Amino acid sequence: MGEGVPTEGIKTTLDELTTGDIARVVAIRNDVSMSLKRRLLDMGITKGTVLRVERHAPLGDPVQIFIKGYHLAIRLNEARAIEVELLPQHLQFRHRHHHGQPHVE
Amino acid sequence: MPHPQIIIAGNPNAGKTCIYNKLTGSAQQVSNYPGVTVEIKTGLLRHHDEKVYVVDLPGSYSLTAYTQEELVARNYIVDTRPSLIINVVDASNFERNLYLTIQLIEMRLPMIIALNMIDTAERRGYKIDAEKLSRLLNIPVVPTVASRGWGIPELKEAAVNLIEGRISAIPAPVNYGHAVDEEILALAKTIEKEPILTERYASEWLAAKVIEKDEAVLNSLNSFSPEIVQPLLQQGEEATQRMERHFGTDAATLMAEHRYGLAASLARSCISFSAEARRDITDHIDMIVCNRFFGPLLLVGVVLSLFFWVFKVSDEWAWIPWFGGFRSPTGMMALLFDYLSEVLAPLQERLPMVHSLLHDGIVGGVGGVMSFVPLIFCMFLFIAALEDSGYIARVAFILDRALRIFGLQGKSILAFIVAGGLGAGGCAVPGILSTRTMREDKDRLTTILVTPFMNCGAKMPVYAMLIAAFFPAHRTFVMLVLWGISWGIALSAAWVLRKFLIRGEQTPFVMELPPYHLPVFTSVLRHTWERTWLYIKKAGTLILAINMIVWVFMYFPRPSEDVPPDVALGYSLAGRVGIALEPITRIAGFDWRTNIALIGGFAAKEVIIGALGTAYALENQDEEKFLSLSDRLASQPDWNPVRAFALMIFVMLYAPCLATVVVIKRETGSWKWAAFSTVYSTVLAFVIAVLVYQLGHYFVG
Repeated sequence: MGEGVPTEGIKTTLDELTTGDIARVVAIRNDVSMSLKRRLLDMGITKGTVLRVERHAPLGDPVQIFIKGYHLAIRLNEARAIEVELLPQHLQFRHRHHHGQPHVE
Repeated sequence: MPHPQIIIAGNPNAGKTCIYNKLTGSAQQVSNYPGVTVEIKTGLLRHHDEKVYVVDLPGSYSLTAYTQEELVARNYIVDTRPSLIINVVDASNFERNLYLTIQLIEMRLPMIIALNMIDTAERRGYKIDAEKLSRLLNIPVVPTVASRGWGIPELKEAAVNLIEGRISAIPAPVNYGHAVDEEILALAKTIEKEPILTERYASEWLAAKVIEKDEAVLNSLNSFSPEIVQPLLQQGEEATQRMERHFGTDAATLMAEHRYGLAASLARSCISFSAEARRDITDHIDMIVCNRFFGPLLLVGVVLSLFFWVFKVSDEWAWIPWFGGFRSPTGMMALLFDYLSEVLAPLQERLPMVHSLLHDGIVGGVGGVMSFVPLIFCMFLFIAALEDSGYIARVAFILDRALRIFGLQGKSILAFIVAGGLGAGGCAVPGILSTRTMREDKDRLTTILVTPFMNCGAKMPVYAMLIAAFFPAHRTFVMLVLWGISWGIALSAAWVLRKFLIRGEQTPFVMELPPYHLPVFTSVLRHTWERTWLYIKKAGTLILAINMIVWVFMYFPRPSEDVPPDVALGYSLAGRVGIALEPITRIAGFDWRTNIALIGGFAAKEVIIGALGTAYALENQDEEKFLSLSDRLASQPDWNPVRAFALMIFVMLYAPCLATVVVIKRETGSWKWAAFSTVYSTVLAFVIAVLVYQLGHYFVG
């Protein structure tokens, strides 16, 4: 974890976030299918990973996030299974830290 | 295997295939992995007299198999124990790529990392210390930019050195941390006591997989005797429970977290930031492409321009220089078949039967199909370029929500497009094959079952001919209506199938949006050619055979006296069947001649025009014939626009052609769905054709 990253934040799920939000993954809920869970884990949605919501598709669904240096699209009803902690907006999500830890000025 | 084998593994979009192509040149072949339909490409690498097999596996994000392709990739590596794995890592996407790398390292097989796309990484402002990575992992790491050929000679050299034993490249064992390593090693020790297991699996890899409860591995363990497997599973279960208690989460999660933790620490060690990275061009483009308003607009624009491009380049523009002028690609094809017709002409008098067989059956039938090759090729070229650039992923992203309403998903769009959904031709065979990027399940099955409703290249001449005859003033409008109907029926059928027959969970949509890049010409060309070749092969084999069979049925038995061709037709076997079916088909407006053509069309829809032409006793077999068939039908008293329209609808919807049926069987794994596809679509087609015909007559008279 980067130093100086605030540890409190609003706890919510990925589907609730809006464009531009930066959040840290807390956990993947246990009530999802094992195969979906593995898939999300494989794609890098692990505890402590920081992600940013890039946009929603024109019809509102799926949502595109920037995570570990790449872009991933997830449906909202699957994003609901990802528990996240919303990080304060003033945190600059710098591209240079592609592995996802924000850098505090 | 007499020659050593190299396997290329890596994430999708990491440039695996590019590296594969550079290593093997043109000596490649495609084969099927036993039992599954995903194809494995095998080629030969030649280097200083050394010959090595190179296998290109489908891209995987992980060895935990999720899609069809990932399962094949994983099984292939496990079952084959290659001499070397070349792991292609996308340097600009380091951490996620390393997740797979770590799992490959767990297999403890000789490995080289091709650190690809270092130019992109540099553009993004970071540099990777390949030497350091190599030291940390204890395997060679070769920086490459495969698309430019940089690093390829070094990669070849390293690979061959390794195979010849001059260097060693067994990776250092993975260290997850004390708690996890302890459990894995303990279980690995138990595994090592059973040679029958270690012969097949690396002990630590198997231990890790058992502890994280990998379903595919647990299944495959069932093939070993219970005395060996049971105690192992028991010990594994205990280890899993201990770890889950210790870390407070389930085994799958904690293993993934540890692997990613390791990937992150490797990234921290080996990556340095050289400059301020700018916002990527991909992001800029996506701001338009995925925009709520401009996105769909752009999509429509792309579709229209594809239409324009395909027809202009393949059909309208005469750009090929040929003896005293320029011709278009379809013009060239027409010339070829005209020439063949001429060559065969002298036979007409002396051996009328042979002439008929060669001219009507073969040249006519196959000629019709081949004349579409330029169109199909252009179509596939455009699609492959869009795929390669990364745009198709955005299309799936944009359309997913809409397609979900019908029980499909975003990725289904590619199958529909390739099968002809954009209205400029296509083929359902490669269309269905492109569903392999979907997960094996209900969405994929539904997609496969409705893809044949798209207006493929075989149906277009039928439409064109009938439209020229009966709707000459409204060509574009009618084509548009047919296009709309095909989509309408496809989507409705999907909805019905999903609701009543193929019930079940929708597949999750978790998809990477890869960075845009300019399509690489050679790889686009290869991809295009693969699909076009399927179409041509179908023509050269199946359609040829069918045309000959149909010809036989339409020619024999012959009446004893000399009668005009259409009377003789009535005498033949095909004629008799057609006449016998007439009472039923009449309600849709089909007479016995139409029936014959449609029966032939069961095998391949390209046959329909030829058969119809023969049934109306026409002599020429090329574009001229098509026109005169149009004229001929237009002048028939029993033909009218309503009947023509009903026929077009029927041709659009009824049974997929034989080639497609075979592919459906292969991709769904059973004849059941292939048979179902034939039956349900024919029934649907007939019902709708009847409705169109009867209602049409009622209203139009």
